[in-house]
Amino acid sequence: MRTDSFVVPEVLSHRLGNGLTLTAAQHSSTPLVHAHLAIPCLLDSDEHLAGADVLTATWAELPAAEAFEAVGGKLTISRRRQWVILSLSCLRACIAQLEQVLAEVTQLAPDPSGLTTARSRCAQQATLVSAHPDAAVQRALWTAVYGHLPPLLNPAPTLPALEQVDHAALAAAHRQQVSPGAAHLVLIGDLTPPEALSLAERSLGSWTGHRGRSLLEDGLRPAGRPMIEFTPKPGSRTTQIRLVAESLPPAHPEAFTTAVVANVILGGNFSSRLNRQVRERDGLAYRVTSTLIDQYARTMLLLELDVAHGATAAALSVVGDNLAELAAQGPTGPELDAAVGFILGSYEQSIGSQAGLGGCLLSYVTTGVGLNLLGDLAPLLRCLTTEDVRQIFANLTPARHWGVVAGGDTAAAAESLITRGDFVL
Amino acid sequence: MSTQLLTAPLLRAQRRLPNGLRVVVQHDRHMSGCAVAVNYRAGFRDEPRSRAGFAHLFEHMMFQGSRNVAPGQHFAEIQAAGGAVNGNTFTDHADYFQTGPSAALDRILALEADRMAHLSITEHNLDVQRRVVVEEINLQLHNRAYGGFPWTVLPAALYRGWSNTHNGFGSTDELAAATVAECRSFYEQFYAPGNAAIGVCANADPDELLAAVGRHFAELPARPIPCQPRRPEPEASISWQHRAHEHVDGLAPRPALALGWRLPDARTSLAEYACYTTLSALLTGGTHGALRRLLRAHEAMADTSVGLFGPLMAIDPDTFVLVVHHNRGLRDAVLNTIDDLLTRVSSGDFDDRVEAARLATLTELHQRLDVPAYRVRLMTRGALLFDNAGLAEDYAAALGAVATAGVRSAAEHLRHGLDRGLATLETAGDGR
Repeated sequence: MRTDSFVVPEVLSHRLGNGLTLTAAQHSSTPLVHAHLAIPCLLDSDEHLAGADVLTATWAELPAAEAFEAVGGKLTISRRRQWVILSLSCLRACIAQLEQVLAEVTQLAPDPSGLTTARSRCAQQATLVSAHPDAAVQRALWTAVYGHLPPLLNPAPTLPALEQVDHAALAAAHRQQVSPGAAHLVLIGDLTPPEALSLAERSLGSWTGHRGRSLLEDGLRPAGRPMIEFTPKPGSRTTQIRLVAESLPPAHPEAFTTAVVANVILGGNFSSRLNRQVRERDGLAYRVTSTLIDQYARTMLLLELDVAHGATAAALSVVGDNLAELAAQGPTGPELDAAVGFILGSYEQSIGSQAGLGGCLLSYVTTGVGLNLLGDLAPLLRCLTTEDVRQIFANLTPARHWGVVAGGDTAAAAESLITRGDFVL
Repeated sequence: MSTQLLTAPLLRAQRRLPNGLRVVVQHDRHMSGCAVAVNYRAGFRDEPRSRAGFAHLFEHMMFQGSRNVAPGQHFAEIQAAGGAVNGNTFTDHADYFQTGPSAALDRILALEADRMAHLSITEHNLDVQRRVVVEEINLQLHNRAYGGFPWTVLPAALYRGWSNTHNGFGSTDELAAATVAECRSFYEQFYAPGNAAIGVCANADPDELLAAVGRHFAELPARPIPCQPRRPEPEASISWQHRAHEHVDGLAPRPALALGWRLPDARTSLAEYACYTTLSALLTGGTHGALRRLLRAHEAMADTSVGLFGPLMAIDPDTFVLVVHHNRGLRDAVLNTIDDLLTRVSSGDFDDRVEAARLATLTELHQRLDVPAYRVRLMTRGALLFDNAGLAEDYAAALGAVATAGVRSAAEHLRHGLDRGLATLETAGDGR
């Protein structure tokens, strides 16, 4: 059933004079145009995080943003680790309004009149995010891994830091963070590459600022000690288990591709080992997943299992047994074939829609994978062996790489975690 | 402004097989693979009265193997071929869908046909999936701030009949009591070909797609389909203030309220239904939605939706939903703000915002339809629940034709309607 016959789209990559990189592809399935402006930010303190959040919240208050919404445009702002991402979607007929948003966001000093509203919205959002049990577990996890909580891995800034964002801090955030040097603009949809280039030049060609940060500027250093931590959550009915290990970075395409395959085999889809065993065989959990996440130049493999109380030990046992087996013997041939087929097919489907293609390109340019992987992915995958994948797991297994955090309610969860946690420590 | 949905013209064909299965296929020139949906009229409203949550539990059973397919094989085969596969249960239907490369189409159809006719239902599978579903409920409802709010509680404040009011996730006690015999009975009735529709989208000739479906499904035996008519929901006749539903959330940082109103029947009044979609965008679309702006003074966050799970996801009675997260002690102020705004919209004060809201709804529909899985699911659901496989195009046309008078009228209904239900959420701690 596997097919590798899909066509890789033609992608324009062009660096403007100010350092901004445009990545564009025409995909005319609907009469929409989508723009993603990704700006790398320096987020090394809670104050920086709060300033960036409030600053980007003011973008939605700009006159151009209101005019954009008045023609049916959709504007969203998100943050993915160190990247602040402004996403705009509209009918092709409305790209003049889209251009105006890009220009105002990057080149207008922030309007102080929008500060109060933006700060309030950020506080509401931060309160909501922090109320979710997963936020506490995430904070505990990254604190354990790095010895402190890196601000860029904090799901939301603190309320005191948000309250301290004043006009001066807002202006400083704009000056320090909104720079074209290492920024990316991804344009997808019903417009040709020359039209995309023209749009980028008109809206962002005169954007200036200091030199942007390099993707390789990595201030994060794992603490290098194995750890296990239990975060009590009174009243919770679920134990959230999080395991993380450092994997191979995207700067090495072959190794990175192998890590992607390893992730799929372990917990990356419904037919992965952990889903088959923890969920479908033993009924211990509803959510079992593994993902590769980028943190500057690092790639981390994150396992997430939300299990019933009383099932923590059993779930960890299955995880530990599989990690040990995969490190010793590697996956089976059919497992490798299935994972490769899944990745290639998912990739084909993804680039078949405007949203999917835009998301794919945005991911490639912001993670450092690079656009060459568009064409290289299939041949790289076809060359992989089970031994290549085994080595990925073997490198994950040494104790110094793993961190385990669980949040839950009962003492039993803590005991079972500690009892079984030594499988990786 | 054009309301054409996709830049390439669509070719669609449909038929009904002798066993009653509705088949609808569509030629999508832009697609590189295929998308298949199989919908059964087996939603929350169809489950037995003492088995709240049964329809959802049964959806899990559909992945546990069939006569020629081992447990887990459906997921494994589709994903190994590069496809995606999943299932969901909603108010009126259970929705199974997959996307994959064109070469996988024949196998996808074979897998779907096998479980439509020969599902394996065992005690072991039921036990395991019951535990998985309990964990799903724990995760989605009890381990999440505002989990399940308002869809699990608002219908009880708005409707009267059990089928329309109960929580579709159900209770663990009732799920624990479910038996294999009940599963078999539910399957025989509600998963019969005559109670289902299949949709296929691919870059292929519609006649070829019809033939492919026919090869796998035409010979499946017909089974009797449920004959018990649903009780119609009575028209509201009492004031909404007397139909409030209270809910406590141990994780929520702030109180919330949800208002619900019964929408016009989209099967008979799609144009009217579209006016509520536009009103929703006018009230809470983007950053500058009229209600969002007004509620800033109260530091409150508002959202609206047409349908508990989105537009055209349920047949009548369907629900217009308005949710506000607010600070403690401000509930009445928020409700007054909402009523004042609805009064102003109904009297024409916001006529100049209708065009922007209308365009926003069209942009959103384009975005959704760009995703093949969404396209095939809407088409299939349209055929099964609305007797209209062209629902996407008709809905787009209705959105494109929305006029200010229709939006005013919708706002007037929300302001005065007797059918307004209120669900409130209180924090367990000392939320602000």
